Amino acid sequence: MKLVERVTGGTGIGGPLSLVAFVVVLLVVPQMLSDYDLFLATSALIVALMVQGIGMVTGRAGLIVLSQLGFAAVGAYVFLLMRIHLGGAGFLVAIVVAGLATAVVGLLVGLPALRLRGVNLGILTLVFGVTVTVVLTTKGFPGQSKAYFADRPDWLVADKSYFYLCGVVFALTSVAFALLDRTRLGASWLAARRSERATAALGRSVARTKTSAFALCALVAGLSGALFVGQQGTVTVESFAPVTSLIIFAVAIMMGARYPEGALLAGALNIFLPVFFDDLNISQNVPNLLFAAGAVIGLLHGRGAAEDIRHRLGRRFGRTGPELAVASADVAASGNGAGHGLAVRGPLTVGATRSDHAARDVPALEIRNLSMSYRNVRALSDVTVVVPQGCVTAVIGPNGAGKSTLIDCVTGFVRDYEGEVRVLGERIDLMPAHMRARHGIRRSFQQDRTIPELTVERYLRLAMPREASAQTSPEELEDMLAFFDGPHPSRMLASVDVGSRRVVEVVAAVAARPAVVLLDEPAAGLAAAESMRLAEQIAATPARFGPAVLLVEHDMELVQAACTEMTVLDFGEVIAAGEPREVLADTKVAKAYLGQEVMA
Amino acid sequence: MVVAVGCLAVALPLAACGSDSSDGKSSGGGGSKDPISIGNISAMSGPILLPFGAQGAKAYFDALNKQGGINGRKVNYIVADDKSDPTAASQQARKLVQQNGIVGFAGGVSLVDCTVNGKFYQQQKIANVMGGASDPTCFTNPMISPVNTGVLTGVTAGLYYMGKTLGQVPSCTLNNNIPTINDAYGAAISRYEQLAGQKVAFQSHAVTPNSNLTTLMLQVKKAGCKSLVATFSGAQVPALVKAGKQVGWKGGLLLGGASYVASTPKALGADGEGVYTTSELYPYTSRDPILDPVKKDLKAAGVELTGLTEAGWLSAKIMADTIKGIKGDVTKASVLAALQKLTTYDTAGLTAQPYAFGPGDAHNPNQAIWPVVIKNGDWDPAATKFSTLPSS
Amino acid sequence: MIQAGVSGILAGAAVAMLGACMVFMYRMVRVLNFAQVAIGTAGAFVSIILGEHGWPFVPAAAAGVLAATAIGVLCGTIMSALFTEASTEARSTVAITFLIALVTLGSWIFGSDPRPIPQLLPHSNLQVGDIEVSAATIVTLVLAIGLAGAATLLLKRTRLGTLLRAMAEGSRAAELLGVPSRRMAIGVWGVSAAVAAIAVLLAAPSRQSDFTALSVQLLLPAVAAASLGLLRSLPGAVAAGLGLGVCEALVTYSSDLAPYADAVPLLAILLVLGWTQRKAVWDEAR
Repeated sequence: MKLVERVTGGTGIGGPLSLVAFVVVLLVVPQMLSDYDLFLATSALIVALMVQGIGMVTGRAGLIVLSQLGFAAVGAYVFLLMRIHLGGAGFLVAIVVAGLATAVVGLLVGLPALRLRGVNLGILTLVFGVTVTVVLTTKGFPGQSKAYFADRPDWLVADKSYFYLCGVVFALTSVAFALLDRTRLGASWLAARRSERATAALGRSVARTKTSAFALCALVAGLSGALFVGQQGTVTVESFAPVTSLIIFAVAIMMGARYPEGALLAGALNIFLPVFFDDLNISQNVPNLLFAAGAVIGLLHGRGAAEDIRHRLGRRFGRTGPELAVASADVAASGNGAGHGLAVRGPLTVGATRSDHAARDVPALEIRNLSMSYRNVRALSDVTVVVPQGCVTAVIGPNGAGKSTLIDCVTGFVRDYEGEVRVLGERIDLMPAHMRARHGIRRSFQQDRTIPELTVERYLRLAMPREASAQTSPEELEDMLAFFDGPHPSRMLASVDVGSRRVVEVVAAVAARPAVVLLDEPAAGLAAAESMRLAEQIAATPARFGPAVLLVEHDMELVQAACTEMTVLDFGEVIAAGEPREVLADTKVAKAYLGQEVMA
Repeated sequence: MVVAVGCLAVALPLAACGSDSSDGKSSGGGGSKDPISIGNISAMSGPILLPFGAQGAKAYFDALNKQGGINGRKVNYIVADDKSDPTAASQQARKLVQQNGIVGFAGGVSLVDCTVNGKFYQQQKIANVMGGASDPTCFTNPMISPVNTGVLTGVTAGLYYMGKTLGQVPSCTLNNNIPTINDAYGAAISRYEQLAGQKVAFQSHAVTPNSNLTTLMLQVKKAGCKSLVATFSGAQVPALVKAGKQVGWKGGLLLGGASYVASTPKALGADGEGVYTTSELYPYTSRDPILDPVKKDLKAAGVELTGLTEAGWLSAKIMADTIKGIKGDVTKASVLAALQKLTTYDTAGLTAQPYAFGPGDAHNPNQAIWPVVIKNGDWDPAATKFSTLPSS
Repeated sequence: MIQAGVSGILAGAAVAMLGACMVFMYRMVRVLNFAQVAIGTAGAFVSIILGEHGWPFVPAAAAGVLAATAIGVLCGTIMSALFTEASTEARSTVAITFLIALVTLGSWIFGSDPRPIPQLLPHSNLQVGDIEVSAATIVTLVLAIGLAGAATLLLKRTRLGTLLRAMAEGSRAAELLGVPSRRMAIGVWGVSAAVAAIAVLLAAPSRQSDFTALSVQLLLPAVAAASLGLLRSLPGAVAAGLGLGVCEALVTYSSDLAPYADAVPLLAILLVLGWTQRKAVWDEAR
């Protein structure tokens, strides 16, 4: 029961219920059905397994994948290879190996996804699926020319046993996916769907996030390909036609593939609707038209039928379930990308722990002679900013002064700069963004980049290094949120107003206990009184929570109230630095900065 | 609305079960007057339409039922649509055999049936007298014996006719890329080379619907081919002929058997004059009285006479005549047993050789083609008899 | 060898036109129109059927182009009525459903019988040295380059172009500025459909011409050409389409590789996009 609770988050409507219901149905169905219907039901399970992969890549990570049958074909190929050529491996072993091998292929297909996004990825996967069929058309499947029959072992010969096997595989992958959803990786998929930069800023590798989604998608497709061969007893390339991939994708969108019941419904519809029409002597063309129309309805609602049911049930029972149903239709807010993948896996030291050990006179953040050009335009030249431990330092400057570029350089989102960035004395210039985040630099964004599908607490814990999260009690998080006037940790971010979401982002950056937090215009859009309150909170942050703060702001009053050191940028150059009062008295600053303020 | 769709999805399997389980299994005992169920899997919808075998067979069974059926029992002929989709084909085979309780298959014309269901038929021990088999696995299955010649024997016979009989050498051949039979193509071509003592100058078995036919015809021209056997049919044919004109290739062209339909000369127009194809049965465009019984049944059913309707009609007749001879229960087992004893069946001139099923592991009784040619915008027999391959 | 390459130009030019259409639509109305080729094929089939009924080529072709335009306008109307605010990915998924529906209806209505494909141009070949170039090749090539050039000029130089670009920048904003966005978006669908029908009509005579084969087999290289044009550049898509056509022809010509001709787009996408997008580390969301 504990497992069931973990799978469903303990709160899911129909969570444990649906798993129990599924097992019951799985046991009962074969008793009721004829051989033929059992065969169809097995087919439906196999398709459902494949649809789960779409639920992974499209439903969770928000990427378009149009090559499910291409992956299934790879699984079928490996399965036959194992059974025929590699010493006649055991049936189950061959299925598992087929799944794993396909996962590797999925990983490889996922690699271009680190650079290709949105519809380009759709094109790539579509063309990949076609290429698989081209190669298999020419090469054939192992043993195909001898019309090899993929014999099942004695205990699986009966159609009933085979149905059970497919059901068990489907249940196992459903549970595994649901468990993964509860992990940091699960949250990262949702994060990467929203913004890749924000994902990396949380210290999560975008490359690993995206490729893992592809690998898991391919894994289930490979399993379903192997099971398909076992069910049919034989195989032909035509079974894996790319156009069929498109139809399965449409059905997945129609029913909503992110949840197991959606995948099951999609599988059932895909198999039984044509049979239903055939029995009524209605043309087999009609079901395809219905699939197309159904997908349009799913896209229109922004969620598939199963997701819609969850959503409605959730509303009826007054909660939104563990995670709000998210439009599988809202395929990728705008595509995704990756950090500099293949990150060096160094010792994962938490910022706070580090600064505890570091000498107090080593600056939390040191930016030395940083220069950076976009094409021929000099964006930053020779900028030096030092943020001592325990301090709030501000960088101010008029629009276009290079403040955002500076943050991007320091946090690793722009990497072709000259100069040095050190955190607690350690150079981090060679690290990709997510590794910098793990090495003690956290940032907030100007726009809301929280993940609506998560609760506030889960979002904070996603941002925190594993050890820090383990050491932090829910009460501490609640206190921290309360200190920043944030929402209650149990609330869904989707139900929180935009201002509070930005607060949550700040809290997340602080809660990760880095060496330094970079806040990018945290007061944008706040009223004057709120802004002053925020200034107090920021000013108190180093002493109360540990990290030093680099504050980038427009709001002069907030800056004056919050910081002890100040650097002024204009046209990419430091024109003044020092204590706020001195700096603001500088005539150059008044001219560059205030002059523009007046004009604006 | 979306909830409704969801409910529909749940309800469907149940509804489907409900409607299916009502068709009981009916093979009947010896003295039974229940109808005998015979099945057919054909491409009735989907990208490629091949309903002709089913139409021809149904015309025969309709006529037979009017005369009282087989030994007083009507034939319940069930045609299932495979959409040229392997998944649908495997479902339909199970439905027909397990749900509808058919005793055998007759008249099917499908691109995927044999590959997908061949092993299932062996498992179920159910016989299939196929009307139009294209897939080579149809000819290597103990349960299947098609009435037509098939693509591999067709290639050999076609090359033999163009190269040896007409003397247009060197011969060349283009074939569609069908997985698993590239070796078999090679064997079919070697068989011709041995029989005729001639060499094939150019061959490609890599043609797909997306292939650039102009490039392929350039190669044909460059290899100096005087005749070309291209086992194409349907919408591939006009493109091939156009591509030949485009590159300025002039030679004898012989198409695959499935192109022997009225729409081919129509589609080719003036470019089609002199293009050959193979009739795998007695040419349907011939005016000989041999075809009269076929024509009579098809006319009554309102079905157009084509090579494939003729083949469907013949396979239905073979199946019905076989069942007629069965003493005792008509089951899939007794039908198979009767067919396995059928080593020579007189087709009354519709095929060059007598039809045979027999006990073997592979069946390809039809070893001949009848060349036909487009003359004045329609097919016309190019010879006065079948061109039978010499047995080597 | 060269002759083989030249033989790929005809197919390539048709692919180029289709790819350019897709780029145009992607830029103007934020959709990767997977149904582009199917819409064009539907129009081409109307021409073919009318040709069978004895219509002369020109009126039949015109009617086909009109029919395609009507289908395009219908798809565009559905899209702008229901999915104006949806993401590009969602809109492109809607286009996939259009593709499924059109292919299903197309093969249902038109069947798979071989049909006489009307041909505008006689089998006249131009001799350039040893190389023969067919009239159809030249016309299609000129048309592909001409249309892409015209569209580029239209966007850059004319008032309509300015309006179109305003619409592409943001439908809502443009609407506020008085740009009739919705009508223009539907117009873009219609015009692209018409061009697609012309492209399919030009390519059909030398291809397997049943509905499914035409609409699906031409789609892949077309979509690849659009992708290789980075979904931005019309000339880029045209060049990519021609390149793909020539490459596939050359691969087909070399007998050993011939079976893999259909894999050329995957290689091209991996190589070209892998290189051009190598710096696209992050998505656009900031």
